[in-house]
Parts: sequence; structure tokens; C-alpha cells
Amino acid sequence: MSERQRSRRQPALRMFAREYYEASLVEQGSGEYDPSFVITKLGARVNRMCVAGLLERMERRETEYGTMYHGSLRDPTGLHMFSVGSFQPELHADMEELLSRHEGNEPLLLLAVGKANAQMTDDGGVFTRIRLEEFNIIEGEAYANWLVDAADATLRRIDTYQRSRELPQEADAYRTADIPADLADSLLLAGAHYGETDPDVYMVGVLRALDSAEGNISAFPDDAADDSSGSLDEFTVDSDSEGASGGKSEEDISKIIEEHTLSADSGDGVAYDDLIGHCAAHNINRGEAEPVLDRLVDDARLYEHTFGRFKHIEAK
Amino acid sequence: MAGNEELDELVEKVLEHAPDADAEEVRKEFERYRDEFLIPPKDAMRSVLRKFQVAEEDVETAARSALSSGARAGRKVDRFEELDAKDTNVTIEVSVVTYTPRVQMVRGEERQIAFGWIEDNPWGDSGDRVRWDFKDWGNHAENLAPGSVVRLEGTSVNEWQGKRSLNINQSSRVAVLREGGPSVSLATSDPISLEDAGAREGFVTVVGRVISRRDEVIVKKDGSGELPVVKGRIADESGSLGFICWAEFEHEPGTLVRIEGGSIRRFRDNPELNISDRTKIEVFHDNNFASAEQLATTSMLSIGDLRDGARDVSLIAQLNSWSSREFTNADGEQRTVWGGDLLDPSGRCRVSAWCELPIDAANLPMFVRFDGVRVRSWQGTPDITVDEPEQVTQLEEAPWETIDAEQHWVEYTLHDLTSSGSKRGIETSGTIVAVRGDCGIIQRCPECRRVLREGACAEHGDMPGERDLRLRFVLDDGISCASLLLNCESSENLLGKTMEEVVEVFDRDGAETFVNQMREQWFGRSVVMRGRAIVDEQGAMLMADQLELDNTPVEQRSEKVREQWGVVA
Repeated sequence: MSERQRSRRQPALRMFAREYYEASLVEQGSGEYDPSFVITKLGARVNRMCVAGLLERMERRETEYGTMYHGSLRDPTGLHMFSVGSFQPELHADMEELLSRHEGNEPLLLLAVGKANAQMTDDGGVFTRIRLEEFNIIEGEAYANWLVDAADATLRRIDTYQRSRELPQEADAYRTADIPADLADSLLLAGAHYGETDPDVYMVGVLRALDSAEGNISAFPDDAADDSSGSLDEFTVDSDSEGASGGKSEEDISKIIEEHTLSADSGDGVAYDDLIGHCAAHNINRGEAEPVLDRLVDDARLYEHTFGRFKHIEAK
Repeated sequence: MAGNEELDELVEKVLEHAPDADAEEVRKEFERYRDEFLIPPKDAMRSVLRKFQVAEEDVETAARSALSSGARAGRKVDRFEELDAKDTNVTIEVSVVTYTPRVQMVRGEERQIAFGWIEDNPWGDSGDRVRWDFKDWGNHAENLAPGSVVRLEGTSVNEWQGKRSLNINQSSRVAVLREGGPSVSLATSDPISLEDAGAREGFVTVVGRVISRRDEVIVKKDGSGELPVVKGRIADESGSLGFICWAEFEHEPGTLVRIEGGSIRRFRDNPELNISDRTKIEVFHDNNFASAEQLATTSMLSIGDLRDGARDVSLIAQLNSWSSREFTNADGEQRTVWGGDLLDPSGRCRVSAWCELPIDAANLPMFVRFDGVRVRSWQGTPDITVDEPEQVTQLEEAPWETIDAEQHWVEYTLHDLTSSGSKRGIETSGTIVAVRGDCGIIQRCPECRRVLREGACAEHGDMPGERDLRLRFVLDDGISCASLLLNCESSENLLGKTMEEVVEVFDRDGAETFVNQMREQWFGRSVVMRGRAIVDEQGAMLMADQLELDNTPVEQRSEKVREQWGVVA
């Protein structure tokens, strides 16, 4: 990469929460100013992203480095986690305002642009979130537009992914088949890292999003997210069921984890990230999910059959 | 590819020095270097040794002993038959028969390797030569011209599926003993279309019909004299390409020629076929090849195709305005330049003329054909320059219904815009993903129009600033992004305020409040912009004449997405 290309701004990818939180492949730039990327299972190479959703959680944390803010935005597929660092004081006043409005139970739809940020967990997992750069409080119509844009971008990736599966897994073959340049290299890397991916799980999110954008919120029975937000132009939020992640008992959480470990297991167990991501989609944060997961392993309901992958004791 | 035996042997050598390493891992590492980075296993030896924890002080000796043992060090032979399959560090004199570079993409980077034929016994009877394949890993193109005789040092024998070949490595030396033909080399001698050729860099072979040619003289910059050249244009059904010939070029317009080993170079943004005395040009016979008359239309460019630096361009356009301007040039001469606005269905541009043309402004708009004109950039977008009155013909018949300049915007996706050349008269859409903190009232240097920082110009120091209004956003469609700028006039239109009114707001509420208001209003919005696009290595910049919210109803957007990807509701 030349000096000039390096300084070029990276585009903001439209992406639903699930595709992003299921990503665990990080491409670190080699030079000091090289951007780094998170590569998703569908081959998106994310440096900057544009996301939207309902502000579901918002908190201030005092750390040894200073004040930080953490929040999450719910879209039709799950939660986008975002953060504002102590080194971004220009955003702190805005965050305080968001915090107080959120605590006042005011439903807020946000559209946010930020940088992909992946953190290694102690156990070797990868936890993806967004470092906020700029955001706006939007109304339903702008959210609907974002839903359509994100659906469009996801469909393009699904289509490209499916076409790429029929090709020899090499750059030349991709180029001949007109696999778009922004996806070709990262699709190869994704294939090597994740193995086969079932794009249908992302298709479900796309269909939900398009239905929501068109105003058909109830077209999909809610199996995961408790999207009680009603139609977009007059969205109201049942703040009791939304914000309160602690509303679920440990029993509920075990049930969710166990069910997911059984249903998402295609023979090789379920990855830790997947479990945590699934919990996040149910409003259960990592801190709540982990002790339950540990207990389930202690109780021998689950076992870690290879490093970082869990199987249910009753799984075939 | 290095043979398996060779690899086995190298793996063993590594294991001698790193006894704890896993043989399979070592092998994989060699293969990785070979397949991903195109580094032959022997060249990778040191890196592999390091990877498997051989102490730094031992790496060099280990590598040397590994690479020389088994092979007789520094073998010098006369004939290929004397070589053993495992020989390394071979010295031999050969004649180069072919040299074919190939660019391979390795992890997103282009790497050049080459293969070809060499023959031993180069000084002997040509009937008594043995031909081997070779691979050049070390970019020795300059010294391996077909037809030359060279001494190769430090090469290694490679055996694969029973067939032997010679690897010329990065560390190999190539000494030219007798110059060959052109030291240029062809990526391929199969002709490619002119459209494909124009998209490449480097050597190409093309077949095309000469559609124009003229003799020119280039004055050398160092004052050492003049250089006669021939410039012109050739065309095929895919398009046309300007050429510059530094050697003799006796082919008249209309002649079909095959040009082997011309090189594509870029003058500004424009690809040009360079023909040197080492390029082979021959008359080509193909009765099915498009005639000069047929090609007259394909070689005709439209405004959207114009690239800065293009020459010998022909196009038809609608001329909407015409005026002249007088000025004094650097030599103190009075000069007149004429100019006007051009439109065609693909876009718009400006034309300037250094000669008076028989154009009556009262008859505008009119349709004009330009031939042999050049393209120069002005304010970042390509415009046309006319040097001679003969280059312009007024058309009797209108090629299209008169275009209304006020309503004429050619739609591009943002991605297409950012990956092509600069253009005027474009319309594109996207989302505003950043509102820059320096939106609003700024102070400019009265000398150079640069923005003053704390009252000082980077060039002219402290200056009394001139007030200006501008807005800066980033427009993004999820695949590409571009800076989006509104000058004073466009900003006033967008804000519905005069600059004086904005100054008032600015002075009363402060810059930050103004920017926050802009952000609330525009950040995250889908917008449509109309204006011009300037694209260079830094990225793309859009200068908006108009900016408005994209009011396409969401149902309609959704419908379009479903249709495009076949997702039924």
C-alpha cells in the first residue's frame, strides 16, 4: 500500500449486529498508521461501520484511564455494542445527555458511525464492538432507510459469498468471476478462518429488517429479540422489558444457553463467541452469561469438547 | 515449483538444527513461502530456520551448510546434461529463447515472476542445443532478453514430475555476454483488445487500425535537441488508444497493424501506447476487421470517457455557450482565448480554443464535432482544448434532442464515481457519515485563498482574512466514500441564508453550536448531490452545486432492494 492509499478514508459498511458480533477474525495493519479490520463470516472487511438501532443500554464507567461510556443499539438481529473512550472527550457531553435521557426512559433511535474494534478476551475469544465517532438521534423514517441500506449491503455480501463458494478458493478465480474487489481478499481469508458459513442466518435478519422498514413489524414471530417497539413512525418502547437485562433469572439464562448449545451445534459444538453473542441478543451481557456458563460446565450439563467450543451433554 | 525431494531434503536440514520442530510444520512453512510469497524454498531457508528457533548466530552457518551440502558448491557446467537434479549454485552459459513475465497477485500485492525457454551450448551449432524451461524469481528481465546469450550464476536445478528446469533466483547473477533483441519482454504475444490494453500497465500486443497520425517534434527538456516522434490514434471495435512512436512509423491512416511489445504508459490519467524501436509493428491482414468508417464511431469518445492528458480525441457535443477573453501572457503578448460549455448524454465539460472559430453565439445551442483535440484538466475536471480551426465542424443534423443544461445531470453510483475519472455534471447519492468540524464561516488568505489557521496562512504568514462560507461533509454509500464540499453559493442555497446572516448566527452562537446544528440536520441522512467530482490519488472530492435530502419513499427503496436480490416480500 502506498502512503497515499493509506491516508484514504475507509468507507462505512452497513451491517446488522449479528454479522458483526459473530466475527472473530482480525486483520491488523502492519504499519503504525495502517487501518485494522474485522473480517466477518460473509467476507466484509470492516474498518468503519454505520449502524443504527434503539439505544438499549447506556452506562458510564470510571476506569484508571478516565471516564468511558458503553452502550448498545438493538437492530433486528441483535445488539451492536459501542464505546466512547476517555480519549474522546469531545463526545463526553453528548454521552452524558444520552445517558440522562436513557435513564429517563426516553426511547432513542440512534444512527452511529464508528470504527470496528476487536478485543481479545483472556480465553482467546474475540469480542467485537464499535468505537463511536459520530452519531445522531434519528426518527423512524431515517431508521427505516438504514434498515434498507443494511439489508441491501448484507444481500450483496450473501450473494457474493454464495457465488464464491462455487469457485476455486484463489484470487485469480475470484477475479475472473467478478467477485467485487472490496470482498475478494477478505472472502478468501474468511473461508480459511471460519470454514463453511450458512448465510441463511443472515438472510433471516435481512427479511426481518425489510419487513420492519415496510412497516410489517409483526410478520416475523419474535423468537429472539423482544422487539416490542411497534411501528416505526410511532415507536414506543416498553422500557421495563427492554433495558433491564437483569430481569432474567439465572434459570432463564441457563435455559437460553442450553437451548442454543443444542440447536446451534452442527456436530462440532458451539463456539464461546457464538454463545455470548446469542446471550447478548437476549439482553444478557457477558458478565451475566459467563458465571452461568461456568456453572453449566461444572454441573456437567455442557462440556468444552475442544478449546473454546461447547457441546451439550444431550447432544447427539 | 520446487520438487518434493528438494523440499524433503530442506526439511531434514532444518530438523538437524531444530531437532524439536515438527517435520510437517517445517514443510508447511516452506510451502507457505513458496505458495503465498513465491519465495523458492532455498531462499526461504533462513526465515524458516529462524521461525523454528534456531539461534541467530547459527542461522547463517546452518543455512550455508544446508544449501551447499548435497549439491556440489559452485558447479560450472557447459551442458544441461551434466547437471544433477539436486544441483544448486550452478553456473552455465545459455541462450535465451523466450521470456514471459507473469504478474501474480500474492496477498493483494502484485508480484512479477517470469518463465521461458533457455538453450545450452549457445556458441555451438544451433542444431546441437538442448532446451530447458526456466523460472525467473528475481526480476532479471533486463538481462534476459530473448535472443541474448547470458552467463547464469547461482541458479538451481528443479525437477518436477521427471522434468528438469532451471530456477533463476533472486540471489542469482545474470551476465549478458551478447545482447539480444529487444530487452523489453512481452507479457504475452497474443493480441488483446484496445480497451483491455488501456486498462493495463506495461507491455502489450494489440491489433488496431490507424485512424490518425501526425509528425511532431519534442524539444528535450535538457536543451540537448529535438526528437521527432509520431503521434496518433489506433482503434478497434472495443475503443481507441492514443499512441506515441519514438521510431519510424510509416503506416498511413486506415492501415491495419499488429503492434507487438508496445508499452502502455500513463500521461496524466490517460493511457498511451508507446512504440519504440524495439517494438515490432507489422501490417496485419484481416478482412473482417472493422473498417475505418465503422471505427470512426467507436473511436469517438463521449464526455464521460475523457481523461486528463488524452490527445487526438474525437467527440460530438452540444455547445451551449461561447465567449472570449483577452489576457496578457507571461511574455507580455496579448492573447485571446475562446471558451464554452459542452454537453452530451454522458455529462458536461468546458471547451477552450486558442484560435477563432466560426461560431455565432446567436445560434446556440448547436452541435459540433471535434477531431484531434486534446484534453486538459481545469479545476480538476477534464476539458477540451482546440488548437486549430480545422479540428471543429458544425453539424447539420442534431445527434440527439437538445439537452436542457439546467436539468442535465448524469447519474453515477458513488462507487463508480470514485473509481473513475473526474467529471462535471454528475448526480450521485449516499449517506452523510461525517459533518466536519470546520463547517461554516472561515477566513481565507487574500493572496492564495488558503484557509487561515489562527489568522495565519501556511504560505503567506499573518494575513487579514477574507470571510467565506463553506460546508464540508463525507458522503458514503457503504462501498466507497468521498469528501463533499459546498462553496459559499451552494451553502447559502442549502441553508436558506445569506453569508451575512450565517456570520450573524456564527458570531452570536459560536462555531460549535453551528456545527452541532448542521450535524443534527444532516448526519446520517440519505442525500442526492449534483455537481462535479474530482478524483485523484487522494481519493474523491465532490463539489456540490446542489444538495438535497433523498426523498425516495422507503417502500420504494425496499422494493428496489428486493427486486435486485430476488427477495420476495
